[in-house]
Amino acid sequence: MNAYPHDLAAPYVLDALDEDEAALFDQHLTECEVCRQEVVALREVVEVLPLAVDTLQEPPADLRQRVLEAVAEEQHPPATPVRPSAAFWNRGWQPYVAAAAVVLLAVGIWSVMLQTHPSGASAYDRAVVQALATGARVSTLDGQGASGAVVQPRGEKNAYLLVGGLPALPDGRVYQAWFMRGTQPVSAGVFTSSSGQVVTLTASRPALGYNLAAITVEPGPYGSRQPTGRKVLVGSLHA
Amino acid sequence: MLPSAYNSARYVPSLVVNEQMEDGAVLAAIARKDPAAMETFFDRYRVLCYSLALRVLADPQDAEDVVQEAFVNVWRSAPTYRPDASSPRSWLLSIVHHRCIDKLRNRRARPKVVDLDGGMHMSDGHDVWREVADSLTAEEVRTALGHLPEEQREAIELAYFGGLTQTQIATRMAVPLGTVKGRMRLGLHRLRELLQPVERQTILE
Repeated sequence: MNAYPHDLAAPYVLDALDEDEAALFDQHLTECEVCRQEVVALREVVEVLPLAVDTLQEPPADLRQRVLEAVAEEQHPPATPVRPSAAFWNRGWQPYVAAAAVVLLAVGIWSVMLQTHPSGASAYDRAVVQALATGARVSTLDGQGASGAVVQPRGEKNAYLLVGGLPALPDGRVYQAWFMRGTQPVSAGVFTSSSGQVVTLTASRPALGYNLAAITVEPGPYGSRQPTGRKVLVGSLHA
Repeated sequence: MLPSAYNSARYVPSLVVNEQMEDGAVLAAIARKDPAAMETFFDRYRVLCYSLALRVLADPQDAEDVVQEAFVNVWRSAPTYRPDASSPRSWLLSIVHHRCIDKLRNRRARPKVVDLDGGMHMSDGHDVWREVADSLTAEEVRTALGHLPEEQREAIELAYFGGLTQTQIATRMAVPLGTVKGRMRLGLHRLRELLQPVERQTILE
């Protein structure tokens, strides 16, 4: 039982593994119930260790102000409504709703991609061409400096998202994809992107039956229940 | 007519956060993005968080940065906090500790890959332990650590407070890696026993 990597539970909870080992053990935890249980039990003990700090020190007085200001800044873009207001969804959508009949061709995607992301264009192109070749429905998403497409393959359950040109986000932020029917958005998955990289990911649901898709910036690592952040890509979905 | 304090935009009359409010309720108010709750939470734990960060990082500026990042993280992640998995205090301090280690090893924050809490995994005796942990004092934890075999206590402290990796600890203690892992494991299990009410009585006497 204590053979590698089972014996990594204690150093894991004490954060004494280097990144590679931690990644390996993370993977192991998805497969080993015994280690999961040990990690949970040991972590409970580790959680009381901070109490043993021997010297208690008051932080500098201005830290309080800085923390509260940093938190206030988080509020700014935007004021995190529990449900999106009608205005949030209507703002900027109309052109896409109106253009719902626009049919998208591979050539169109190419030109967009080649103009804005020469480095990432080929991977994106290949993926789109492959998708079209299999008879998948492809719908584009538009945004400033970035491009994306929602691909719904024939006979496959979930849709794919192809995204290129999105900038890397600061710590604690993620991109979140949404599909929308009427005025009700549902999450289609959360992802991150390094600058300019082409991202291909499986949406957490089929695109069928939805008429709009968007990608917003949301708090990480889990995203939001409803969109709260700015829209970086938006487009209509083919029926 | 409202008291004048309520004229300040900071106050939301429907949410009254006060000093007596339990941590869980304060965190729930933070999840609703109530800035007053954030102030309360910060004031309760600023000393503990800063002291932990200073102990691990040994640099006041880095410690301040980590505490600030941790509280911003709390603000963002409060909606994902699971009260059945750990107390708000433990949750906050584990965020501070993770950020310290990230800073120490000069690495970016690692996204949580395995969401153990999400699967509602609790240890056997979790509820009993939770009561124990919530009532523990600094003195009791220090005393219990002092009752561990020296080499176990050292392995745990070098990792948790020193921020060393197991490999670095093996070098420092001049023992094989397997021995270090064993010492950490035995030490943590023993610590859990020592902190249970029955043993606590014995070692504190």
